[in-house]
Amino acid sequence: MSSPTNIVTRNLLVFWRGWRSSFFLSVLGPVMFLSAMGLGLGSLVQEGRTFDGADYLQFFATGILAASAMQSGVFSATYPIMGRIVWQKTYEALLATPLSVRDIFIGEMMSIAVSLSLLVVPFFGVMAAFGIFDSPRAVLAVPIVILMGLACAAPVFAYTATLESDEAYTWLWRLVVTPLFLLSGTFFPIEELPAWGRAFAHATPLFHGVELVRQVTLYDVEASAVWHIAYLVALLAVGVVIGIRKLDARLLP
Amino acid sequence: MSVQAPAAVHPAPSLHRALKLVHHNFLAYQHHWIAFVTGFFEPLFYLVGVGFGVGQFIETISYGDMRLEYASFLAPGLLAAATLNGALYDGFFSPFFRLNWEKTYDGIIATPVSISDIAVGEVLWALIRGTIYGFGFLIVMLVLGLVHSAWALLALPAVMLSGGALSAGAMILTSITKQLSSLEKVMTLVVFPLFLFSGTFFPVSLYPEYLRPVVQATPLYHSASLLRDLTSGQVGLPTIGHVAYLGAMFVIAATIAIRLMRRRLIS
Repeated sequence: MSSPTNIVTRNLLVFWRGWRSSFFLSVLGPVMFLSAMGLGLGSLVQEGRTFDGADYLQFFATGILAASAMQSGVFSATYPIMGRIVWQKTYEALLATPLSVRDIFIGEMMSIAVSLSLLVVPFFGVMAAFGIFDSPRAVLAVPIVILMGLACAAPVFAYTATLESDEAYTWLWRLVVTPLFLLSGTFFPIEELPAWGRAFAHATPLFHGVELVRQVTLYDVEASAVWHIAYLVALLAVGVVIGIRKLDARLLP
Repeated sequence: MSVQAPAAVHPAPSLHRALKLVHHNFLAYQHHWIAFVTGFFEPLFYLVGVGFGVGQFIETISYGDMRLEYASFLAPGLLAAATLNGALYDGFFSPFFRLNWEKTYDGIIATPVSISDIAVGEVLWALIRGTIYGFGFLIVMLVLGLVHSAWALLALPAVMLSGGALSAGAMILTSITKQLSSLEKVMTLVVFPLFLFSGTFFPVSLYPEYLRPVVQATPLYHSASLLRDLTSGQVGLPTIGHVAYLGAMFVIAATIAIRLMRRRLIS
């Protein structure tokens, strides 16, 4: 058993006790969101208005799948990590074992991947039950949003490693995550945004995740998919490299 | 088990002592001004993203004898939802941590400040913050042309009434919640459905007949409808019903919250 997986095992053991209720909640959340926004709000959308051939429920659901993964990825890299660095000092204890800082970082990222899949898979199942997909290719959306969630988590993890308190998370959440959540093509196509808004959306990981998800679930896969994937992989790679460096500087000053 | 304690141990709440707690919260909050300022932006982003973003695909919505643009329909709903969020933050999350983690209250009740003073103080504090946010949001609505009647002048007192009722409800949650994991359950099972299904994002008339009474029983429905009646000028008998509901909720929930809190802190 290689070292980073020990971190995953540790986190899973901690997570295990609350698992059943978490799973229940992670199915209930999407059911409510899709009913309210997709069906409720969607029914107000003008008759005959489609989103490149998709109805509003399909359009919204695919966007919100990616957006939830972003929120979950970012959240996993904030309070829980800060808890282990600052409040509980878990990492100080872990460094007394053969684990290195790199093992800890990679192990935490793997744990985040596990918790992302525990969110994304039930969400995907709920979407299938709502009849949103008509091709088995849609399954590709699962690894795509997990990749995107990790790409969002890594830079935030790096940022957390530099923080002394959780105060910055308030603005991170309200001024970064919430606008991304609403304006990256999740609720409405970014073509409706002014030019500067479109430029902003193109710079966000969520936009690339949403585009990829829609290509594999609703539309045709285009050449631009390569660019979207490259963006997400690059963001993840940069986040991991900087994150390990920052965590190292924090734990072994 | 719960023997009625003598009056001297549980004096009636005093405004003067309750204000001590408000002052404490204000001092503690000065270091968190970013949280205060950014709190204002969250409903704004929803207004832009959903109200105007999704709103452009939506025909007008009939409300009373008016047809409202979607953003005009949504904005008062978001204001009500923001009031609920504020009430939960100040009436549930912060007091939860003060009660269970920081043990601030254990320290406070060793002073002349009593448990009812704490409850009154927390609700007052929530009201003050909620009123400031509500005022800011109403100004934004006015600037964006989403206010259609002079009745909107009463929207601020309506925000305060909703805030009072919802904070008192939140204090009940505080006094019965002991575990951190319950916070998440309350969010998913109570707050999130209220946020989505209380007529905030779409009219109650879209629900099947048998579900409407359920929606109409929720406090957020009354709060959203009251604000919508005022900003669109559709004031009538139902408006008075919403006020009565929220007023009654405030009195009943506050009474229960104080009683539960007493049992919780002195045991």
